[in-house]
Amino acid sequence: MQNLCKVELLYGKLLCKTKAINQQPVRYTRKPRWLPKAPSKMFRVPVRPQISTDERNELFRLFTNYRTTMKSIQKQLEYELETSYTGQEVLQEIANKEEMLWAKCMDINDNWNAEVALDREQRLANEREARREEILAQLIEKEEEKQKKLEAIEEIIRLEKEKSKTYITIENIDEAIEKALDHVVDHKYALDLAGNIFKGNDPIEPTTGTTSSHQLRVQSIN
Amino acid sequence: MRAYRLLKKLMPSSGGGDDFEKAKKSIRLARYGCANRPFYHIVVVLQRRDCKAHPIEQLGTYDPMENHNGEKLVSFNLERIKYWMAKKARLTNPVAELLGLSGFLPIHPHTYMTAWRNRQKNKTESEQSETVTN
Repeated sequence: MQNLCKVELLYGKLLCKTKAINQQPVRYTRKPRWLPKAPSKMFRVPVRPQISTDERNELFRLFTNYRTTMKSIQKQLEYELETSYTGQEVLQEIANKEEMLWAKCMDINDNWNAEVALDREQRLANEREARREEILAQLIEKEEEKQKKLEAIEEIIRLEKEKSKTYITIENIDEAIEKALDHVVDHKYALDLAGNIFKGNDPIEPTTGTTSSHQLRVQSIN
Repeated sequence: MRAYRLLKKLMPSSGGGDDFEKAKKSIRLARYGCANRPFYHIVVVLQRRDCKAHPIEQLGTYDPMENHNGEKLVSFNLERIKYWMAKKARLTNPVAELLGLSGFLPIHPHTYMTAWRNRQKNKTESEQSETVTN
């Protein structure tokens, strides 16, 4: 109590400026233990209650009966509370409820599965079709490529065949030699800026019409 | 001397107080009236707590002052009282008497006692008055 008073004083000091809205005073009327007997009651002798033996016996009987019945009621209530949690019927009911819930869940699950299966089949069929078309397209492309290659090879063969008419073989080697000897090609020639060809080691006169000044200029440049 | 104590916060009288699994509890009357106007809540609280402690739960009300029809009104939440009795909450005498009168429990011996004492008192008074008139 004294501690409480101190605490209250402290709080009063701390909270003197603010109004305590969240405080709740609880009133009581008991006199504290450390206060002495009131002066007016100092010499009062309390009167003992006068109970006759009949009344006492009757009360004893009533109280014993009451206690017995209360005990049995208490036991019954405890039993009822216990059975409300763990009774056979209650457990059965809970189990039934759970089973119902399980069945409901399974139904929903089955429906979902069916829907998903339908979707999956559709998707797989589409995918299969797409794959088939792709493979077909690839095959056609490959065939075309093969065809193109063959054509190219054919072309090469044709050209080679055409070329092969002018080939020098054992049969016509003498002819070819003679031909070569007959037509000697002289690659030793010079060119000027106008594109005139000067053949032979000694430049005499250009094959086409040019002036000497031109030649001089060419020399100087060179 | 200070006749009140300050609670640090506002608490609902309808319940929400401390409840410990293994602590003893009691179902008792808590006075919530004002001066000269008693009014009681029937509450379940930890047994060692004082009369104004924050209750675990309110189980009913009791108005001991008669209304204009000469009735004292009591209300009980019997389901919760059953529950707390099954949890071995102790009943105080006034609450046990009220429950006995309401027919939920057997009638408390105190009720019988007060009844027969009142009857005796009435009888003696009437006899006295008869002798006076005679």
